[in-house]
Amino acid sequence: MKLKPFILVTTPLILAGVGAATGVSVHERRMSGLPQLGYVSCIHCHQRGLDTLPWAKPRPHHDAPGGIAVSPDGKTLFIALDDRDEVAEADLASFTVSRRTKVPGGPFGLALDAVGKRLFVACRNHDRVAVLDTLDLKEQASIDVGIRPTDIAYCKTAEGERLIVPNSGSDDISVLSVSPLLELTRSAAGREPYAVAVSGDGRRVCIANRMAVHDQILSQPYSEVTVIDPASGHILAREALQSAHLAEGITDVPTRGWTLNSVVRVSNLVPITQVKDGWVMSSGVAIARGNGEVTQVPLDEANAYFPDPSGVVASPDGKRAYVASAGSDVVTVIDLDKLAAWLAQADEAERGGAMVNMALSYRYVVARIPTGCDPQHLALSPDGSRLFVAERLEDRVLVVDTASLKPVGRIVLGDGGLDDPIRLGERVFTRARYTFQGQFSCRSCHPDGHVDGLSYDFDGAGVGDNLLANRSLCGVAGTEPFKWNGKNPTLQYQDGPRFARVLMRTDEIPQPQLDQLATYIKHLPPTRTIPWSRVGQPLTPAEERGRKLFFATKRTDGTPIPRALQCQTCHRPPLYTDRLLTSVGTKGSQDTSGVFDTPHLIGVGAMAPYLHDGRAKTLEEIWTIYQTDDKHGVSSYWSKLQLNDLVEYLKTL
Amino acid sequence: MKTQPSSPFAALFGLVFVLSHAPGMNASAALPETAPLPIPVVARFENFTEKDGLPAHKIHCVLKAGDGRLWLGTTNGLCVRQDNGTFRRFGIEDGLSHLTVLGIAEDPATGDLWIATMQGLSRLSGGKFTAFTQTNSGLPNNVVYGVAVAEGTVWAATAAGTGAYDIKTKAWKPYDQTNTVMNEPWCYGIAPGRGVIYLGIWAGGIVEHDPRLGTFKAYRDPDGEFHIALTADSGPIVDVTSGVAYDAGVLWQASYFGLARYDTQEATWRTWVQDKTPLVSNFINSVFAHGRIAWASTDQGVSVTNGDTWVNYQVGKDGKGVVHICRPGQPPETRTMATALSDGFVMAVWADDHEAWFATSNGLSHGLFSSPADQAALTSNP
Amino acid sequence: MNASPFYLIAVFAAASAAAAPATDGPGACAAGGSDSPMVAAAQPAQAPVGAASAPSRFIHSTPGEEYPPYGELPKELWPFSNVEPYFRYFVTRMPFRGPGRDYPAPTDLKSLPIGLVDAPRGGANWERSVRTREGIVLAIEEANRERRPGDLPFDLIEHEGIAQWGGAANLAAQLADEKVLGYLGTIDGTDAHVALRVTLKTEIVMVNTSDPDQTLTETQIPWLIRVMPDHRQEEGRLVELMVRKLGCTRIAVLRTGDRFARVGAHQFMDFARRLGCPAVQELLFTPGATNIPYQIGAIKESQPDAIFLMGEPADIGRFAKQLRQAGITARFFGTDLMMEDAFLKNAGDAAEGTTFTFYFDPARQDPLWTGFVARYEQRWGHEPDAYAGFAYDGAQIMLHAMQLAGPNRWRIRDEVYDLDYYQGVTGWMRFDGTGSNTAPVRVVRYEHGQRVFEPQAEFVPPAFGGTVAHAP
Repeated sequence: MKLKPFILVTTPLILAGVGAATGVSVHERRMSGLPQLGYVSCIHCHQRGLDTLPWAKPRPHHDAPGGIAVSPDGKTLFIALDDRDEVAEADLASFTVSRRTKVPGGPFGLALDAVGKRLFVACRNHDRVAVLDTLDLKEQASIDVGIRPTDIAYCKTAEGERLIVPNSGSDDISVLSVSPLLELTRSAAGREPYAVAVSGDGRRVCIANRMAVHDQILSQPYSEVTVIDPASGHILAREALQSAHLAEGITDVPTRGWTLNSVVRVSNLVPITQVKDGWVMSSGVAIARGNGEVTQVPLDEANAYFPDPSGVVASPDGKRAYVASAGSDVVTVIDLDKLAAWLAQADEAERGGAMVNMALSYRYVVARIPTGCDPQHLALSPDGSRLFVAERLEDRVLVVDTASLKPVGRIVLGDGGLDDPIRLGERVFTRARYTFQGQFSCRSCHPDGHVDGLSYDFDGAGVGDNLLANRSLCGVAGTEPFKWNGKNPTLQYQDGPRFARVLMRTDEIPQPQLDQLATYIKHLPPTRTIPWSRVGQPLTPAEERGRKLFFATKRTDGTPIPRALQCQTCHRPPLYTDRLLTSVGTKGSQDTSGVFDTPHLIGVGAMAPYLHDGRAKTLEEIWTIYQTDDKHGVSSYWSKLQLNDLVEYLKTL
Repeated sequence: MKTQPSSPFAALFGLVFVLSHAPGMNASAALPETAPLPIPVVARFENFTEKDGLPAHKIHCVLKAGDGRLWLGTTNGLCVRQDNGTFRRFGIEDGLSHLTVLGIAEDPATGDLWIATMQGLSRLSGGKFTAFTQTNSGLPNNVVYGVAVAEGTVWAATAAGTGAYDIKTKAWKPYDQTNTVMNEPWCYGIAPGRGVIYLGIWAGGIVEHDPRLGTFKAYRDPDGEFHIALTADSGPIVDVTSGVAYDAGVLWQASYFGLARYDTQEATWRTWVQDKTPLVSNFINSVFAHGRIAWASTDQGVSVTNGDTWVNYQVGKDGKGVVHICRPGQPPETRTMATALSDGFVMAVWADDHEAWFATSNGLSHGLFSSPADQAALTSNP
Repeated sequence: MNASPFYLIAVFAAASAAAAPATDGPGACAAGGSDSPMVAAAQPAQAPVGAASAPSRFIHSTPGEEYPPYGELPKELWPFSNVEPYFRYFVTRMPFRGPGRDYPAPTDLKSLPIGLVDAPRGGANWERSVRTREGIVLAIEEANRERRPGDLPFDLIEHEGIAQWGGAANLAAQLADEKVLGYLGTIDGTDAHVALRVTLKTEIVMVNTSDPDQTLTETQIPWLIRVMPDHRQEEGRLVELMVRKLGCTRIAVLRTGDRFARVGAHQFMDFARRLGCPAVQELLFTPGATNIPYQIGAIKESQPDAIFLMGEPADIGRFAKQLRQAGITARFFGTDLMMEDAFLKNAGDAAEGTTFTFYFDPARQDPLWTGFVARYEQRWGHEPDAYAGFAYDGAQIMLHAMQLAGPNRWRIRDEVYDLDYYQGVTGWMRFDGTGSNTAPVRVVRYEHGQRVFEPQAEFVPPAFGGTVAHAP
């Protein structure tokens, strides 16, 4: 009969299948340390190499303008092209690029000396400042500064010429002497110092810090404006822009003694459902009038928003200010006389509540100038007659006649990269048009794809409920699922229907743009947290000790660490995540679940605050304050030296 | 302000009076032989107490910053003397990590102040405090006894080791008995030397660390005993170091067992104990060095010395100042002053060529030096 | 008879009121005041035997009083004993010359808080710490029962120790923030040292009840006394016994690698060396280790006639057994921790003949002790040990000082630090120039599984003429 051969054939197969399944299950449990797993595949742990990830592969480069600087004679515009490792020189008579020169290291911030003979270039990718002779555009000198310098300012002091460099990645400020080119001081800034402005008398330099800080999880965040004496390098003041983040533009207002900051006032502790009410993020300008008081006034109007304010400049006569809104592709023109008049008559309560007064901006906003995509850096000609707007994702610089407030030309640097899906995705990322009334863009919370340092209240019933820490998008390719609860399997899902429902409060991003957005995000490389000079170098002894601790399978006394509690089990290299849900004993009173998606650790040194709700301000606090019964790794046996070593290692990932 | 008006002349008169009336001493014979003192002499004290706006009796430390402002560490917060002479207090509500301030150091590069407290290290920068604790940073322990800044590194002496914070890299490097030659991890004082750092260790003597070479060298009490100083001038006076100071090639060790000095150029030690030497008391809370002169803050006043000549300031029973002057090879001189230290229990001193400030257990004293002309008069006009 | 709690407090108050400097500050009133019947019953502080008045259990120092070096150890045990040193410390007790005694008392006090830092939970000293705490709590409860209406109660502010990262320093600073008027504890030497340095800065007196590290009080800080005899007393006595009486010449040392044993064993070896018997071996083991064949082999090779063991009782008991199993016949010696059952349990028959030092005989029939034992058992349901006894005595000294001085930390310090002798439930204490109790220790030997105390007269101060001062 035929049944017997069938049984003879199928039984071993079934047994083999059952055995294999059992073996796989045992293997999964043993290696993950988790007794019960839902769906898990081999690739949760057996990940691809980093070199196969999108961000590690070659990609097209573009002529995106970064910082711009106008020569003292007004005839030349210098343009930093960080994605090309070049600096371009444009003739302002013809609006054409006259020369380009190679400046390795992602030139991003520019400054000229008083006579325009030397061009100082902050190279964001190589952590250095280069000095170029403007005659031949040859590099004359270079000096290392902090991590990711984004801007540079030149000033003359009684002690000599100075360069002030905000180092966005190391949260500090380099003060350099020019002759000789030396770093005089390195002072702590706020968080992510980004832009710098010199006062008219050259005695004060103000640095805008882009990322917010908050002293406690439920405290009001603020961005710092760091004020420095350029002669001595001493810190003069640290002014707080309350509730502000993304403060990435700053300028001095000649004749008034004011400093203007572009800011986003964020209400991260109110439920994100309030987006529909229009006050989760308000874009505006902060005015420090030198009397210790800072007033924030809106750029926004009722039902019209101008998000992601970036570059800001003031006219030489102090009459006007121009603010680029990168999210809405607009430059707003502010009449400073009118603003001063309003400030003079407004009482303290009015000034304090100005930022959310949607009926205020008409008092001082005199024009909105449309621009190309993603206007960021601005510059004015020395006489104030021309405004230059770096349209970053257009590869162009817009030239505006400030008398008529009309465009008079464009300096074309490249083709805009419209055939590059990554570039197209970046346009989606930076544009606010996809959110409710265009209030904010992806970049509003993820500048450069990274974090803004805040925790947001997602869908909770009251203030401070269900706080979730913002997570960096840099280096997320391959780390799916997404969201702290791990419910979003793909970026398209995360940024499509879910994003529309929870954040955008409007229609989903159309599928083609959604795909482009996902492509862009997947190509965001991890944030570099070590100096460029250390890239590729061996670990320091402390970092090496920390590495051994991270991969330790036994405690110092030789007793084994359970597999589930070894760092490497959940934070499995090369992505340093097993992409599974795990409980590490951090369930808060408002959390519905104690299991959270294991975050990847690449670039973790720059991702503070930590844990799912951002309760840990530093990496140390994860184990010193918020560790519970060795559930987040076995740390109870660590000496302070060992914890320090581990932290130093983590900062290198 | 509790100021006791006086003048250098009054002090001079006091000295002359004492000398001329001292048994066995002939002032007119003694004074012409007396060379000008090689160390500054306080002619008058101005005192400040809680009545003058100080936030506490006890002042642990004093620092005159590069911008001329005077900073005080008290048991009730940090305090600055403002331009108008009033005192402004900073407490926990301002962001200071703890009320008890044990040490203050200035970063000459940035102008930032680093403040050692009993619950962490605070940085005061641009008017804002930032707290570094053992839970939010690499600080070894929250009880910070001393702090110093040298060449871009902040050194914090804590109850569980010394922490070195690299201002550029933001990395902490802890030093304790597991990675240095420290006998114990209990650090009490820090003194930047010439290319090296001196760590005053409680029960471990002094550890010299060269950060560039990564080397350590321990200076230990040669007899190794707490109950005795076997010989004089042979090494640290004891292993229980309460403070260290360095300037001009001279390292000073304060302890509760006496004072020691190490001349780093000659590699020689000298030691002083009370009763056998002019040192006013063995119980030395701290030592401050300016040039080759040390100011030892003791429980019975202040001893000022260059190692050979001594000037001691004490508070007499009548509340007046008592000054003892010991010149090498000459009998000690005693004079009274119309003014005195605010309290004899002195915690710390800051001094330069022009003035001295004394943090005491009961108030702040400002020592106004006698002028060179006064000094000349002291030696020529009986 | 058992001494009643009232009697204890009354005697403390009476004796010290006379010994203490006259104070009329508000602090004294707040804590009982000069109209207290306790104070009204004041008696002379240093009543000699035969005096009509009741003898005091507190004898205070006199200004400039000199103390014998090294806790009255024989001179041959002194370092550099043949040389007169350049300077000798601790001949007199370091005075506190700072201000504070006339500072007004806090006006917002609701109690008289006393701080306690326990040992870290689960650590080697945890059980000892529990008994320490019980002794202190008993003392405070008894004292509070005697408080009159309107008197502020004594209040224990305690914190569990933190094993790592100098945690005791943080706790001591926290206790200062909590405005304690004095500290009690700790057991662990490192904890005691780091807490001591905080007490110096915060000027809060500390009564250490049970850290035997002799270096603790050798720091010239006039804010600390220790009521438990230290390793100097124990090891000095032990070395004399080993070398002088028993004729040991080849002494090996087996100890843990921690600070506790490093400091203790090095002093022991110094003593032995000074008597002509430098240690033939010093070997270390990790606390909790189960087998140490290398160390045992090395000890066997060195052919010792005596082995000094220092470490946790369970560890050294285990290794005593292994040493015997390895055929080593040398006699075992040690200090007070050998008194604990864990040693006997793990050593088994190997404990036979083991000789060690201890503070007092728990079977002694001194009424102060037996009364304490009875009250302790009634309160806690089990017998006290030495930690409980010394903790009770330390607390009594602190309570007495607070009773006399009121809520003024500096005057409390004066009462505590200026003690020369104190008769506690653990016997008479004799404080040296460092502030450490140097009362003679006892020698104990394991015989047939029993602890046999060598006969020794009870120590009494000279003022009492060699008789034991019993409570009436």
